[in-house]
Amino acid sequence: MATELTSRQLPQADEYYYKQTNNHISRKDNETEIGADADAYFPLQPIEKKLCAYTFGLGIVLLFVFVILFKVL
Amino acid sequence: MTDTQLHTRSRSAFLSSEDWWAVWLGLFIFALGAGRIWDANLLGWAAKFGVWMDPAKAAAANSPAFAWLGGAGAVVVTYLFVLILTTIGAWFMGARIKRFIAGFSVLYWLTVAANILGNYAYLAATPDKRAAFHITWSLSLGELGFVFALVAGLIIGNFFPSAARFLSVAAKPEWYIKTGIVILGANIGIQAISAMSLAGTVIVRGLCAVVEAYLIYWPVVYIIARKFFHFTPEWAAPMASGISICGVAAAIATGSAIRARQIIPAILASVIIVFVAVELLILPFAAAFFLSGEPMVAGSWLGLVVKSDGGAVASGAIADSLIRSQVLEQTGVAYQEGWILMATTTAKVFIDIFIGVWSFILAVVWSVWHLSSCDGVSRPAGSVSKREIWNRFPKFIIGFVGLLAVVFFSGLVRPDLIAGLKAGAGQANLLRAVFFGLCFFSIGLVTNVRKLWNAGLGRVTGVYAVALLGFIIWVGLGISWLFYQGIVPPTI
Repeated sequence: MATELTSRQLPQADEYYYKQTNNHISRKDNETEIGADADAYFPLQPIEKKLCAYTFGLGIVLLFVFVILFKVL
Repeated sequence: MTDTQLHTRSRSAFLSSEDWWAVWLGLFIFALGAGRIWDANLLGWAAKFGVWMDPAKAAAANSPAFAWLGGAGAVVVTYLFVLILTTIGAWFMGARIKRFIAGFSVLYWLTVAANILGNYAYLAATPDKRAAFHITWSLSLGELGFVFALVAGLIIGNFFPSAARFLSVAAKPEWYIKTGIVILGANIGIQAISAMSLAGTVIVRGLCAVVEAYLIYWPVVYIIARKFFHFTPEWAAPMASGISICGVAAAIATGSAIRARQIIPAILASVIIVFVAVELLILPFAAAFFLSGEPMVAGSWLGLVVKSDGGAVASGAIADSLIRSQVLEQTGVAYQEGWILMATTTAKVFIDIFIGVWSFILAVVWSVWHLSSCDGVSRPAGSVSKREIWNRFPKFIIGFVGLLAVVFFSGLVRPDLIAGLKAGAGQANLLRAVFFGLCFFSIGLVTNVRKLWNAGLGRVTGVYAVALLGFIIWVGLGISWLFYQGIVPPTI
């Protein structure tokens, strides 16, 4: 059976603002999380490069289309 | 899990999310305003803040029928009305009500004070109004009250942490700005009736500009974060969305889509919030200074560059006022109010729609290729249901678009309704300004610059600064120029 990637009740942006003001994340937590991420780093994978290249490429192609539509025609 | 989540879990999303409550409040306020169609003056008491030399004339009821209230009375009645509405919403969203009421009251009155101060004639009077106030000069800085509200919030948020924590229950910038945007839908609908072709152009080009910005911003920021700042995909994806697209909301949506740990968007939020406040203080004035000759470019640019709904739409409101005043002073041309803000809002609304679409795409990519780990197996994958798009769709847009369409088509089909609709939308717009002011104050309040400085977030800040200053501002300007150059608002 398919499972959803997230719950139905998505977190709201204002909840995050509330947390910011009420200091739920300490400097230690920040440094631990970011430090752990630095340790886990691995270079860009081919699929990531593909995702970025296709996205950017589509953007450039559409840019030309829009230039023709709005500036030339 | 937060208290709020515990309380709201058992309630339908219709009654527990800030998005839906923005819709309910916005529609209710406009419905009251629409009473003008049938000569029912249901919002005539709403306070109208104006430029003043005599403090007694700083505020008044917007309708002569309620003139007996006086300025102070109108401000108090407006306070009670907005307090009751927001308290009902806050109760359903699980807030602690006593603290909300106390916090909201402080927010409201400080915002009103900032608004009144910002309307002092020497600060706010446009050149054509100076004679009426018997003054020979003025700074013509309209909407300066919003900036004062932001600064007041920043001061409390950074120097009085206990007070900021107390007020934080009521500091809901997203909810307030979304409510304001829903109400704005009615005003844009009215504007669209009078200049249908221009409104269509703004909407179509706004959509194209947003598609471009998405496709170009996101991969570049992602690559910067991954390649140069050595973040893993679990961090880089929410960061790319947050920095390049739409701030905290996009970071949260992307974080959920790729199943990043919740702490990641939470940490990113502290950086994003600070940058939004800085952008809000600088970019509208930069837009007015450098782009007053291209007002719609300025509006769109702010929508593409300022990274939160509140920050962007608020900047658009400031730029709208500043540019109109500047153009009037320099050329004598008086642009209609609201078109620059419309360009900003259009960009923001399409951006919010695309957050859902983009999160869905990322969810599919991440679930198929397991990008968060180099071996591609460490996180279990889930499949994506169609419901995800609906879950991620920012619901306040339904209110905004619905109200815009209802007003627009009503006026189109029944021209005899236009006068009533216009009067009603104008009254509702007064409350829209109240919600915008509350948003400004709230943004200031939740922005803790010192915390960011001491929080060990150098790498995240580095990505944001490099992407924003080196890329996003300029590409956003180029895209806005491409789509809006040469288009100007109608004149009065």
